Amino acid sequence: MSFWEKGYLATGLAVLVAGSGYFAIVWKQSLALGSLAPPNWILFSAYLVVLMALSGVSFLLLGRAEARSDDGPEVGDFDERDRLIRMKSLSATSHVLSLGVYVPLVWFLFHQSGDLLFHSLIGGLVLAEATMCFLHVFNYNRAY
Amino acid sequence: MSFREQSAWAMMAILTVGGLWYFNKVRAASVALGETAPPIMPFVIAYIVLIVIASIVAMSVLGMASPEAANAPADERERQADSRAGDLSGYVLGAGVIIGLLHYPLHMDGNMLYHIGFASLMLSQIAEYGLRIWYYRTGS
Amino acid sequence: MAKRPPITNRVRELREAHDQMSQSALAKAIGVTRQTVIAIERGKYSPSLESAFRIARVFGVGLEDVFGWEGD
Repeated sequence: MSFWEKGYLATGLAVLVAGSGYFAIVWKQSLALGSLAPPNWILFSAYLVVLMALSGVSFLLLGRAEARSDDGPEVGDFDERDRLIRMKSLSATSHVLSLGVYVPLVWFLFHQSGDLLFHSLIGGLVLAEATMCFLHVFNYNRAY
Repeated sequence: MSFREQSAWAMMAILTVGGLWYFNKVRAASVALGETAPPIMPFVIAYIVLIVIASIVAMSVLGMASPEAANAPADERERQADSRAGDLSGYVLGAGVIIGLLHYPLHMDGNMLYHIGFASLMLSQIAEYGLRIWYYRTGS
Repeated sequence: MAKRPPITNRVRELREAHDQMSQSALAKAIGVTRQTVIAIERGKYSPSLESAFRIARVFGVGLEDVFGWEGD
């Protein structure tokens, strides 16, 4: 498994952990309120910070681990195959992201709740980002 | 100009005209209301129908002009250009959605969030076709 | 699983014939990562024309001595 493959796997898991944490808090707040909790800056910012911290730490730890292995000199290198995989994964992710935006927008036409639209768009982003990471891992293991 | 580039030009023009028409209607409705207008179903449906019909007409006309090219699958260079364009257009959509998400908690305006999301989708599609044209011309 | 590219190669064979050259050394010589060399040797990745020429030059052979076509 290459440095990037491990990094994307770790980041994909981090995205799912941070996303689950975010929605668990929204769920709890909504139960306490008796209706859907409105978004707040603190929770949204905390989600972004936790997400960036988890993915940053995973790449940092992997970089350190790799530096001690035989693959040391290759850590962080990005060659033609990495670029091809990145391009293919991001291109497919853009379709998932489009779907993750279309569905909440169409749904909004029926419920007209800005809060629900906000949370469902975050859901779409989480889904797209996790898909992007796991598509990288998948593409690293398939043939071209 | 290749068939795929002609198609990309046609789609970019259709999406741009359709998007301008739609947001002009939204702006007029918002001015009349004195606040952000909610999504207006007839305009949303009219926009989608307009885009679909215009795309079918444009593709049919282009296809009739060069039927062989229209039926040929994309070659490796075109596939690469399409992938790169799709990759970058995803960033346009992502950035637009994040702007909308950052805007919402400050103003609590769900209609604005909807319009920002819709505009991001339109812009990312326009950007995708524009980038395809760019990569077809410059080589990818 | 995606269809493998219809291109065969003798990279592993040539590498071993060159004083058991390591995958890392070959990767460094052609400017790619070791994982890419592994993918090429397993037939899971067709390198770019530039990398293909670089591989051939490292071994001092022609392009067709390294790569072959197995499709129709």
